[in-house]
Amino acid sequence: MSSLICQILIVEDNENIREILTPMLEMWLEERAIDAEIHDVSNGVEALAWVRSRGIPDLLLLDVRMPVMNGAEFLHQIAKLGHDMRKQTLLLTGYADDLEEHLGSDALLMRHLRKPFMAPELFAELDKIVDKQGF
Amino acid sequence: MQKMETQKKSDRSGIFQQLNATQLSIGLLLIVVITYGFYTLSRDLAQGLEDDLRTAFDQQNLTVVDIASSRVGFHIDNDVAENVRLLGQFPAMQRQELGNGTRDMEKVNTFAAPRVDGFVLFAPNGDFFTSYPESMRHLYQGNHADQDFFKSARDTASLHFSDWIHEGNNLKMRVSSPVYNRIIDKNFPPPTNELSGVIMAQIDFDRTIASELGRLQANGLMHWIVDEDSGEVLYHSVLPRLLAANSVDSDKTTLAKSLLRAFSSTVLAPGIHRTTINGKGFTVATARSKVGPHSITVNLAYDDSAVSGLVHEKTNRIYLLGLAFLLVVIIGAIVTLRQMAKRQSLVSEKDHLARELALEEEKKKLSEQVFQLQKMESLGELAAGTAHELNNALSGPMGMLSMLQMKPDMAMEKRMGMLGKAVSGMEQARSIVEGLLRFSKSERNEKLLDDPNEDIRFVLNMYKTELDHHGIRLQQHLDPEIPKIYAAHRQIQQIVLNLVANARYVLDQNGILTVSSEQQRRGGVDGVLISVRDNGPGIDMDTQKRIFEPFFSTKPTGEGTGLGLSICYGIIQEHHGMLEVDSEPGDGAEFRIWLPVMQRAAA
Repeated sequence: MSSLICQILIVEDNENIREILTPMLEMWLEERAIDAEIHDVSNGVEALAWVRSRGIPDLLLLDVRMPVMNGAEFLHQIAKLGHDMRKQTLLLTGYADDLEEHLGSDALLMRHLRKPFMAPELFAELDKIVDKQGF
Repeated sequence: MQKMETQKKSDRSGIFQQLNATQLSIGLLLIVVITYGFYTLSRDLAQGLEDDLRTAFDQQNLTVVDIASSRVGFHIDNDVAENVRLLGQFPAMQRQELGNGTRDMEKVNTFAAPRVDGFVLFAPNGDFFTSYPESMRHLYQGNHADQDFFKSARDTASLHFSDWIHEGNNLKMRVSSPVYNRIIDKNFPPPTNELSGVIMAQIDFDRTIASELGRLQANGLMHWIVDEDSGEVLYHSVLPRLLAANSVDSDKTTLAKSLLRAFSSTVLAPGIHRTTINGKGFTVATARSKVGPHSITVNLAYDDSAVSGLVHEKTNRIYLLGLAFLLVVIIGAIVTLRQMAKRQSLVSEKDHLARELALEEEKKKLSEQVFQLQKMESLGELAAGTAHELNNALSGPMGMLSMLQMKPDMAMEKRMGMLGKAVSGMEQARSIVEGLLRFSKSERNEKLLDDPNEDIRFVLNMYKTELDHHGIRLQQHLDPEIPKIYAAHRQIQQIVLNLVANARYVLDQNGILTVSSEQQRRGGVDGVLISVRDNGPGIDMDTQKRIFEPFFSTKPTGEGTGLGLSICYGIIQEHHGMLEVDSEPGDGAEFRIWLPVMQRAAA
């Protein structure tokens, strides 16, 4: 991973959020001095197609509630393909009960952030994932 | 009676099934008691009537006998005897003119006939002088100076009554009186005051009796007259005088003989006497009288069965009347019982109704509560949706502003872009809050004139995210020309939300939900039609029939209250509108809401 440029994938159905996340991530990458490419798709199906063609991203920002295929279903499909992305995924939720409703108790083990969020909160969560993963 | 029994039996299945055993037995007992009471009453009444009638009958017969007997005596004592006395005074005797005397006697006889055979005049020495009618002449030819009637009349100088004289089949009697030459008349020689002869009337007792007592026969079986001194039967209306004891035999004469023998003496005391012959009751009414010096009793016999027959006839009429009365009583009883049964069923019906009413009240209360619950439910759903929208809208400003806070010295161009995003997010939040305000304004269920399209849009905006998340495509065909309607728009929103949520429930991913509105006139009333159509699995006929019933749900237990559509239905009804469902299994479903523009006028 170190040899290549980091791949960051945003899966979010709300265009506004996608537009906000991109400059925030850019700022964070700049602070951490990480070279990365930011990609965004609007639902699980598109994300699955992205993974199939581009491989597993280094960092995944995943909305839980989405039309067509939601975040949980996407993780489920990824697991079926033999990948475990739970450790490099930051879940984004709008509803308080989204996590448990869609992912069960697994969600509590994963990093998650409730919308709306401020830049420092996002950065802190991203830092935790990066520190553990060590990229 | 048997008929009545069967009648009762058939009735029992009808009226009496609603009565319990106690009431039934009381009713039957009542009928029996009434029947017995009536029978006793009418029997006593009949007995009393018979007694009264018999007494009256006896009294009547006694009176008849009394009058008849006194008439016999009166006739002989007065009419005949007085005529004899009068004749004795007549100047004919003094003049001894046959022709004259005969004419006078003829005159007198017209009064006395037909009870008198005739009058005979004798000379003072006892020789026959003259007679009227002349046919009597041969009976009294010659000298009668030795005869009792001549001697006594001449001696006593007053009326002389003879004893009973049997003359063949007839009973006779003679009344005689002396004639004195005492009349003063200028045409005649002066009175000598001497006995000039004797006048005698021969009375036919049988004819007298027959003329006076003839009608007695009509009242009874027979009548007879007895001499009180000798006990001799002087006259009998049935038995011939000379054959009184023997020969002629008929039912009538046998009965007559039996009646005469029924009493120890032929002389009966005045009054009523009863006897029984061959098991049949007979009554004899007796009265006494005097004929000259003789005391007689007149007896009238009659059959008790005449009275009994009369009484029975009357009694039968009473019984018939009683039967009719009883019938009326029974019918009355049946009617009363039926009324009682009816009342009983009415009472139970009333109880039932009261229970139903209480239940209805309870249901109403419950449905009100559920309505509130539903409202809260949809409110919660809307609140959650709104919160999500708000969160999304706030994500921009929060993210951007927090970044600016972290790095206030970033390039102006970048900074402006971020601030722009923040502002547009705030604008979004403001429009969401405006929607909420609108929602809270219509919360009071006040009826206002407003555009129903706004209601649809409001709901769909709130629910769009939810539909998106389920991958459901939404099509809107809202006619912008539809009129505003007078309605509780909050409730209309709730109904649309309910229908949309139901569609969401049945639709899979890629399902299509179509919401449309148009103007539609129904029954001459302007209105608006809102349609919510899905292309889901559809609804079968059985479910369609029950779909607006409260608590009817196809959702698994625990997922739905089954009240949503019934409440929608109630709301639409309250708005004088219509809620319909149209569906074919496998071909989706369409719910149509029709609401009148001005329901105030329609109400």
